[in-house]
Amino acid sequence: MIEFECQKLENGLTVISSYDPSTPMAIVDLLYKVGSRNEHQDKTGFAHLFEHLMFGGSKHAPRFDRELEIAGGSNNAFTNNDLTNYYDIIPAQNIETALWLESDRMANLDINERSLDVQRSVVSEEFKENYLNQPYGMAWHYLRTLAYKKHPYQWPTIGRNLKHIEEATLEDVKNFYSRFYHPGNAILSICGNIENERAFSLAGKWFGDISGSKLPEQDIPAEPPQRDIRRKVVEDNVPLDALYMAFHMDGRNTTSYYINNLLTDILSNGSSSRLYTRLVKKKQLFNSISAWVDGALDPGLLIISGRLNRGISLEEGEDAIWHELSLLQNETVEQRELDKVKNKVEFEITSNLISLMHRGFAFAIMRCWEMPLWLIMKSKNTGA
Amino acid sequence: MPQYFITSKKNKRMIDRSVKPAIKKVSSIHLLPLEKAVLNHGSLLHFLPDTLYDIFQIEWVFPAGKWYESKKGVAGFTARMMREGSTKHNALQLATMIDELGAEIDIHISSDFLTVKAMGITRHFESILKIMAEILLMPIFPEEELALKKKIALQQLLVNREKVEYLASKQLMETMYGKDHPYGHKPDEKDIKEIKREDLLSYHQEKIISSPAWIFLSGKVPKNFIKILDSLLSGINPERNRPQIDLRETGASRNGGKFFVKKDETQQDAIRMGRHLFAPSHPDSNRMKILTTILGGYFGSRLMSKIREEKGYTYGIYSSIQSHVHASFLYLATEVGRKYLEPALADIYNEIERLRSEPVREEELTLVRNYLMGTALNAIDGPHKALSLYKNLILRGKGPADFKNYIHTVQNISAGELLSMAEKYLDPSLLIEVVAGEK
Repeated sequence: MIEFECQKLENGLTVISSYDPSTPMAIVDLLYKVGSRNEHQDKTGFAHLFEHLMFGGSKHAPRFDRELEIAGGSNNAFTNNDLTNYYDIIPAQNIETALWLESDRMANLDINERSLDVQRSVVSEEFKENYLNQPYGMAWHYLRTLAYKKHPYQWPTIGRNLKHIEEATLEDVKNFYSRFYHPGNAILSICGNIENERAFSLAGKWFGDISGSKLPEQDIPAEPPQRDIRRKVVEDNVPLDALYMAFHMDGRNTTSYYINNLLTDILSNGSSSRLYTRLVKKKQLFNSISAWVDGALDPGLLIISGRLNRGISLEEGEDAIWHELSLLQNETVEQRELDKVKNKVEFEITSNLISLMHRGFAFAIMRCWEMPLWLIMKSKNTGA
Repeated sequence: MPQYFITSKKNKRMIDRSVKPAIKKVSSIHLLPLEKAVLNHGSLLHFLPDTLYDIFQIEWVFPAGKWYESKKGVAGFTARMMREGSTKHNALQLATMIDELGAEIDIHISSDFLTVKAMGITRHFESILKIMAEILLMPIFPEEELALKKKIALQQLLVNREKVEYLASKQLMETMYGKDHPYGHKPDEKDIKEIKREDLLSYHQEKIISSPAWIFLSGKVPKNFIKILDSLLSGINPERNRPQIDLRETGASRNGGKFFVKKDETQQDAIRMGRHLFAPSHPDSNRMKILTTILGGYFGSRLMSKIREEKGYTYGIYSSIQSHVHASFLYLATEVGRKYLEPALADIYNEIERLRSEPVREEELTLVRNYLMGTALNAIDGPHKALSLYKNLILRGKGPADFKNYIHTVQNISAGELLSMAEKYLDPSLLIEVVAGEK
């Protein structure tokens, strides 16, 4: 069993340490509680654009990547609806380099027009590469706009459109930085060959002098209940018709979140799952199909998406999915089928935790959302 | 939770961040020693044990990739179909048995190998291995399952052809190794339609059943694991020779050239560049790995610094040396906005030219050395990753000595050596350049 300890610095920074003497490496994972749900509806995609700017250099380290790489480290980051996560993997002996770099960009980010110019362009290319220039690439934009009318989950993390990214100003960047990037809004997770006591003392050394700020106000509008089915048909030049269905569900800190997670596993996790064996193999309606929950903190979506075989109509595909959903509603799931998805969850969690990188993030997010560490395992006790 | 956090500056020592922490170099890298055993029927087992996590991973690797097929697509469809029914269980039963154990069994092919891989929880080791043996030894390749897999593959092909990155890399590989060469082709409609059940049955019989595999096992396993493996594999003939690796060159194209693949209604152009270099055992192999890392192998590389971080033309640009068993080649890839195509190409050639004309400065050499040492340390962290490194060496006829050699080259390579590598292998007139997009 992997254990961790948690402390809080005076300035509000939450610090987690998990000592693992079996590895020569260490991971520094720094999570900021800001994502696209904190964006203004006219400035979408900003949290992610800002993540790019965090690599543009800080007062004492003008070249973030270079400083980390010269210490034998490498790094990356990602943004989603709810959070922005930065991680550095480095030989444990050089962990202070990672802490120095992360603390300097938390305290003294170099915000300048040139860096903003370049990253606006890089992110626009990312938008094209992963969305505009991919078959079906804009489907998530359409789906979110349809599913949410008030809550900021109505746009994806990359942003609603290219225009919002192109129009981001230096003023926006500065405001965002001071509002969200400070110790009280962050969680630092250190995993690897660093003893816990040393990890806490190093965290205090490098982050202790950064002043705390007021925690950002949470003025995120709740999504009003949806009363009727909403539909949108998009005609596009794609080889196969595709169908996307989404259902509102509860937020992350609820038991039903985990039940929904298991339900989607029953539907589509593995080659013996219901949707694959019945709709892809037996009835041969879909070329591919999957179901999942989007993992959002606020009430999120349970999504089912599939591409239809040529010659099969969208109506036929949709009817078949509704039929499978009605079976879930009206018939008890057999114990054997439930045990199956629980076993898969157990394997997936264990194999994920072997990776130091996943471990660092897992501890940070559990603390971030104030979930007990093994809450996810609790879903194993869920009745049928 | 309080709404404000106020730091009392009186008690707090301010840290001077203008002083960087000292860097301690990674000076040596120790590979975990590999355990080996010969199983009763002749296969060689490579094993790295773990005591921490109750998980194991096992891979059976057969010399049965595209290189060995006489009809295009047969290796790939054999791999895709092995789970789809055995003499004892149909596809759904097999899938259910695997899923009930929370296990994963994947079968995939590369140019040279067919790999059957299983991962799972230690307490299910024997049960998972039993299913794996059934999939390996007794597949029946049912006609109706094959028809479905072909239909899915044909439609996936249509989706892939909408992607500029697919079109560009397909053209590059075809040009580099030839449309009929196992390293050069991807199956098209005609190939897929012509796959027959008989092809798969005989491929399985000739290339898998009759060919002793390399077996790679890592993680926590039951004490009697050798006995379990022996009893499950008694169905395989006690085999003659261990697979020998043939290192002859492929006679690939030596000419450069520029190619354009037209794709309408796109917003970015995909650029792919490359050239065939040499067999992976070639003495320049390690030096070229370091040179392509400097060019485009990490975030601080020249191409990333110039084309992404300075110009903002792309989300990413990468270069590397890719290795098959019989050939290594240079590979460079990026996607750029249409208006940036010409300037991005000019910058790429300019960076290549710089490597050919100016020695890499000591500061950059130290950077790339330290980065590669840290990466190597991370690459062998834990038994699963370390075994994966061993596997890649062993399948290319190499061993731990070659890894040491690589580390030695990283630590000692000079700017002069890198310059001569660039002069020798990065002649722009010998590069193949492919652009896919609207133009």
